[in-house]
Formats: sequence, C-alpha cells, structure tokens
Amino acid sequence: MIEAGKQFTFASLLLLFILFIYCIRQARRGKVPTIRRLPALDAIEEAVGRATEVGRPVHFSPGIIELTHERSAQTLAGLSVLSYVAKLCARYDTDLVTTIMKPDVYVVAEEVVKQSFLEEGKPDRYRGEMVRFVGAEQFAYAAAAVGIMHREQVAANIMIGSWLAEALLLTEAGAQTGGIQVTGSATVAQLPFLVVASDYCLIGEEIYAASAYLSQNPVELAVVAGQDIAKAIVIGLMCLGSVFLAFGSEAILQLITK
Amino acid sequence: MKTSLPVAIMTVIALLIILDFFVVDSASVQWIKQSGLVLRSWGIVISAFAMGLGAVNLLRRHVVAISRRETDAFYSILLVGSMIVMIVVGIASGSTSPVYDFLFSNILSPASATMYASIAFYIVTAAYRSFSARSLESWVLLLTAVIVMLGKAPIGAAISGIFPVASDWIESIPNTAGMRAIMMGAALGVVSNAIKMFLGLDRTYLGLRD
Repeated sequence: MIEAGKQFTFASLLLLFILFIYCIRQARRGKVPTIRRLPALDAIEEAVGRATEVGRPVHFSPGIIELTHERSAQTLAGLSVLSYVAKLCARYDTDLVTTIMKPDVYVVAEEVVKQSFLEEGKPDRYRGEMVRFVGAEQFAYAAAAVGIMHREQVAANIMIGSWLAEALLLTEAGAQTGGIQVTGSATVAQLPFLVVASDYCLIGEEIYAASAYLSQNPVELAVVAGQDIAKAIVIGLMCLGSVFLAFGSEAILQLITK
Repeated sequence: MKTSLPVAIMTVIALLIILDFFVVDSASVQWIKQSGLVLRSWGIVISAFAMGLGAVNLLRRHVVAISRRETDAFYSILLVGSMIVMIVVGIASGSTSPVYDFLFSNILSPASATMYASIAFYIVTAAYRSFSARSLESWVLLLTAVIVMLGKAPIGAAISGIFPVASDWIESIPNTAGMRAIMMGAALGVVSNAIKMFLGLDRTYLGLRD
C-alpha cells in the first residue's frame, strides 16, 4: 500500500507521532520539560518596548513563501511569532506594520493580527493598514518593504520566516533606521546574511520552538522535547550507519532507503 | 466552534494530503489520490481569490494616500497607474502578447535586476558592521571570512598556496557539517510543528492562544 522508497519515511513519521504523543502524555502528568533560553525571542519584547518609547512603529515580515510551498512551515512559524508581536503592540499601543508578499499569507496574517488585538481587549486599535500586501514579486516586495521601513522610520524590525536574496536588503534597511533587529529562518542559504546583519537571529529549528517558548505551554514544550529525542535517534542512526559502512555493511543504508 | 472547526478541517485535509504522498496509486486507494488532486486544485483557486484580496488592499491603501494628498502620494499615483495599465493590457491582449511582454521585459525585469544588484553594496555594509572583532566569535567570523575571501580571489593564491586549500576545507568540512546539522534540526522542527497543528495543539497561526 505504501510506495517503495517511502516506507521508511512513513514508518519514521508514525514513530515520531507516537513519540510526541508519549511526550505530551508525560507533560500532562506533570513532567514538563524546560527549554533553554532563546535570547532572540526574549529580545522581541525589548524591541517592541523600545519602539513604544520612541513612538515609532514595529515592522514584521513572515517571509516570502506561500502557505502551499514545501517551506511553508517557516511562514507558519513566522505567523505564530506575529501573533505574539501583535499582542505586545496592542498591549503597549504601538503601531505595527506587517509587510506581506504572498496573497494567501496576507489573508491569514490579517486575521492573526486582528484576533491578537481582539484577545488583548483592544479591537478598536486594529487598523487595516497594519497588514499590507505590497506586491507578489520578490524584488517589488523588497523595494516596497525597504521604502516603508525608511519612510516610517521603524524602530524594530522582526523577520521570522523564509527568505531568498531580499533578506539582506530588508535587514540593511532595518540597520539604517537604527532599530533592533530580530530575525529567524531555517533557509540555510540566507542564514549567514541574517546572522551578520541582525542583532538577534533564530537559527533553524529555533523558529519552530518559538511558539512553545513564548507560550510556555506544557504540551508544546513536550513536543520540543520529543523533537530533541528524535534528533538523538537520528544522530545515533547516522553514527551506526557510518560504522556499518566502515565495516562494509550497507544494512542501515538499505533500511533508510526502503 | 470557531476554533475547533478550522482545526478539524485542517486535520482532515492534512491527513488526506499526507496519505496521497505515501500510498501507491492503485484502485483501492484511488479516492485518496483523487482527493489529493482536488485539494491541490482548491489551493490554487483559494490563492487566486487571496491575490484579488491582496490587490484590493494595495489599491485601497494607495487610493487613500492619493486622496489625502500624503507626502509621497506621487509614488502611489505611479503604483496605481502601473497596476491599471498592466491589468488592462493583460486582460485585453493576454499575458503572452508583445505589449505585455514589452512592459514586463523593459520595466519590471530591469527594476528587479537593479534591486538584486544593490545587494552587492549591502553585503559590504553588513560585513563592515559585523566584522569588527569585539569578541571571540567575531574574531572567528573575521578570520574565516578573510581566509575564504583570499582563497577565492586570485591574490590569495599569489600570496600563498595555502589559502585556496584552507578555503576549500572550510567550505566543504565545517561549513557543510554546520549546514547539514541545521537542515536536520529544521526538518525535525517541521515535522513536530506539523504534528502540533495536526493535533490542534498549536493554533497561534490562527491568532489564538490556548
């Protein structure tokens, strides 16, 4: 029933599912895992706070990837952080500018920001201009976002999602306006640019842990712990595979390609 | 209901799409393959509608800017004008017509290329800011960058043959190892996030906390 070449992946997915369910059950029984400090996420409140002090807006971008793309998980992670940023902006009465490149993300982002203001008890403070669809073409988006950052002199630039070449244009515009920059991505090719150009950077899987870290929800923290266990298993499998190959056996290689 | 219904719909759709990826195309599971195909088509239709909403948002914002005679209203006039021209030309003569192609190739493409080219200057400014050796990490970054740059530039090989070798080693061993580690962690992060959403544990993308 399962296609040849995908059987090991399917079995791994089922095992991960079982592992996460186990970790969640453990957390519900009171064994809540702790998560290490992520300075980039701690800095978001500081960034919004500073924007409030100087009376300038916060810029947020969830990346340039649509929701149906293979890298859409990064966009969804960005939208989770957007929810947190929008709540902080609502709480402190700070202006928020969210620039969007993909139309399907625009619809969701608008709902996320609107709902966040509602949850903070300030639905009247929400304005349609807080979420702006600025163009569906990569460099048109970059030009528009850079222009907005300069014209509105944003005091904080938060970018969590997946980017391509325009990442550096946005972060340099953020640096020129003198604001705090918090970025995050799992797109390996753009990480070096984000690391050197921003004040704080979430690297790789850290963006997926953001939701758990910010909410401190035991169930979400349990999933992060499950992820770490899975990582240890993968590393173990890699080491075992290397040893097997060194001794001339392709058993592990054949297993994972099944 | 407002929360559980979107999560339930998402879970059912996600299950169908996942099964569509894994199952063999056979008569007994034809309905899964068909469902996957239909759902992907729906995705395209929804994206098209979303594009319409996005365009309305863009137009509304700039029309308001023009009517209020804001400082940069000139750019808004330019944007609205360009948008109208492209829509009219696209609908009247099609996106493969010579007029549409002319506008695309002679306005949009050079503008995009200009933006892309400006990255070179931004790389220099970003490097200038981040390569100031103030900590151990900055020193490591600076030294690595210097070695790789010298390894890639002809002057590096002229100074010493060790630079190209060291540069290749940095790129193929520590750099590749680091990148693969990040990719593996991120892949597991994607799966864990998907399972969280699948189970309705993470609803922050809907703007909702627990």
